[in-house]
Amino acid sequence: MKTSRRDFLATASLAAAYVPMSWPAQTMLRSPMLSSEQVAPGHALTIVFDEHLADSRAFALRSRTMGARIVPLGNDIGVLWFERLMPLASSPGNTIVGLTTHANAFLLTRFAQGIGLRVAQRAAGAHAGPDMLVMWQLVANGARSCS
Amino acid sequence: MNDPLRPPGVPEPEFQQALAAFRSIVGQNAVLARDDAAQPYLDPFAPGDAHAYEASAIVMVSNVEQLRAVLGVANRYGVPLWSVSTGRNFAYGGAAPRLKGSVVLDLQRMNRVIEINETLGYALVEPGVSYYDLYRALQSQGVRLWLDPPAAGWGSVIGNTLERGFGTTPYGDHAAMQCGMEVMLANGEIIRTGMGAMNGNQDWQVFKAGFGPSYDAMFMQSNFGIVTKLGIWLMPKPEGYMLCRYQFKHDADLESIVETLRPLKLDDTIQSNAVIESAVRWAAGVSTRKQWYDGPGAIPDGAIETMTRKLGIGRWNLRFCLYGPEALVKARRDVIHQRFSSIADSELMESPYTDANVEPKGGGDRSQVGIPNLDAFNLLNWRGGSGAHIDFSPVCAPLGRDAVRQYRMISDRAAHYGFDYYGGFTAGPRSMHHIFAAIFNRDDPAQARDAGELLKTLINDFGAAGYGQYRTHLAFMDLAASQYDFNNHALMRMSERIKEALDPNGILSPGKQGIWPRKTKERN
Repeated sequence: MKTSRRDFLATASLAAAYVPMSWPAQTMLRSPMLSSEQVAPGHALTIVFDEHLADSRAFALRSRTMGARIVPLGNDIGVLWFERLMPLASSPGNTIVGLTTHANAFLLTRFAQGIGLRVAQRAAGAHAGPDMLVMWQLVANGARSCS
Repeated sequence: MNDPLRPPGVPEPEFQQALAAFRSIVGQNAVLARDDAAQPYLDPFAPGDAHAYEASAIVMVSNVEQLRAVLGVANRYGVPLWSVSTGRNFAYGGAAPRLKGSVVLDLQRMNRVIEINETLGYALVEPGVSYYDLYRALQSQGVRLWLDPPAAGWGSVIGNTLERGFGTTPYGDHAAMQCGMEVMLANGEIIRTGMGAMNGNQDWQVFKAGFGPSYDAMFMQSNFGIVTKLGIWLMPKPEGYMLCRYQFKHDADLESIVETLRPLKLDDTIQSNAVIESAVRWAAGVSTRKQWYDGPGAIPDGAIETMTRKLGIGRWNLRFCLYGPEALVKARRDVIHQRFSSIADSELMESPYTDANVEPKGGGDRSQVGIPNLDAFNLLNWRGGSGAHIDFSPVCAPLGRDAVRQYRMISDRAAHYGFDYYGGFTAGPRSMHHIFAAIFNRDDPAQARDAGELLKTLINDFGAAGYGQYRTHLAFMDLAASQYDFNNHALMRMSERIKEALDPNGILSPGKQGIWPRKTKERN
């Protein structure tokens, strides 16, 4: 069966979030962290997705079937951070993963670093071009770091 | 393995003693040193090696008492401190220090909204208060005041005001809307400016001058003190508003746009700052470059024509907002429409008059009604990869000939280096901020290097033509400052004398805006 790019992205992103695995060779590795930092046992997984991007929507839909909570970026990423993601990220037992554009990944990464979270991220796509999406994960361990 | 970074001129044992003293003041967890502690403070948009502006450590203070004690330690050991409010000065260096090895003094934990006065229309805030924070405070208290957010709403109110940032409401000149400061000098002494200099006076945030010399502006874009509190005027929430957007079909329309706009800004018919955006700047908010052009060099004219047609935008796009009672707003609208309709092929659009309680959706529109947002960062997706940008920000008189000259100077040079003209003008009554962003993929060393070279070239070009910048990236502060050369740089000599008098040990933000302490200059 032929796998579309969208299916591939959704599956690969979800797999990276849940299962310890190396990313396929054709994905561009941006950080060595993501493959070794999957959702901890017992953690609730929240998936942030961009409702304007088909790949991101597909990722979210697949995640939901596996029990993840999905959160759209909405109209204002700042409001999303302060009202939903920051409270989640600040409480134990939560892992937050997203598949977004580089710009939104940058913003959420910076917000997360501001409260001492570690962030892992990598490009999710065969090319680091304009269509590149970034998969990122917020790791609440109190240590500051940056990928 | 490299030796751990430390401040220049400070031996390792003394630096370790200083760090231990900092920890005793602010706590273990509020001093970050070693390993990759300074990583989040590196400039993510550095046009070259970000480590050239790397901090040796971070110290986070929570109140003025801690700040005073930290300054005492810094004076004792000669440790240079680079103060940041929230560290979001992206495109100009972020939280990174000008002098490699400085200790970043992070003020984000000083984050109290001390007062909101609805009657007199002001707020008094600490450095760690962001525009989002202040907006949320206004909302939660049901206060009928609007703030003026800059393009990036996550920045510090104090930080942006001290950098003379701007927004797009009638209160868009942030430095002009500042009233009253509390400042800690390098020796730990606290002063208050204006009426704040008088015990028991209640007018600190309503009358700027006070009695005698006025010093507020001295602490903007400088390294003469650390501002610990700042008053900012807020706009009374109007009855309603009307968002207006005009499209102009021709590249050559810029001169007419500026000439038509100037009198309308000067007599306050257009109340908000007005923004003239190039086609690429508008398109970068809603599309990526590859949709229009995927070849080498700057995006060609033909591709821009296709892009404007398909996106339904102009070669130049003007946006502004009108505020107040409906009858007044519509009267202003009619005058403005009539003036701009003389420009051939222009398309004049407006949203319906809207109750002030109704929020618009788009980021640029939200900014014009006092709602912070981050939509401006969409430009990071324009070129693909790990998008970054550095900004060139010359001041331009609101004269058509100057606007066209600056636009041509930048677009020609940008094309030479392979960059699109992502630019625009934000117009106040008597001046415009001309902002050009050199957008690059930071994972592409050649692009990053070219962005830096382009900026250097532009600063020199503009200096030779008699234009100066209002703000610049860390990497170009000395060069930008050197353009201000009247009477053989007399103003800089005065700044250096003030620096020497107020901060003889040179601990406060060495190199900020090209102002270096004497001891640093002598060492180098």
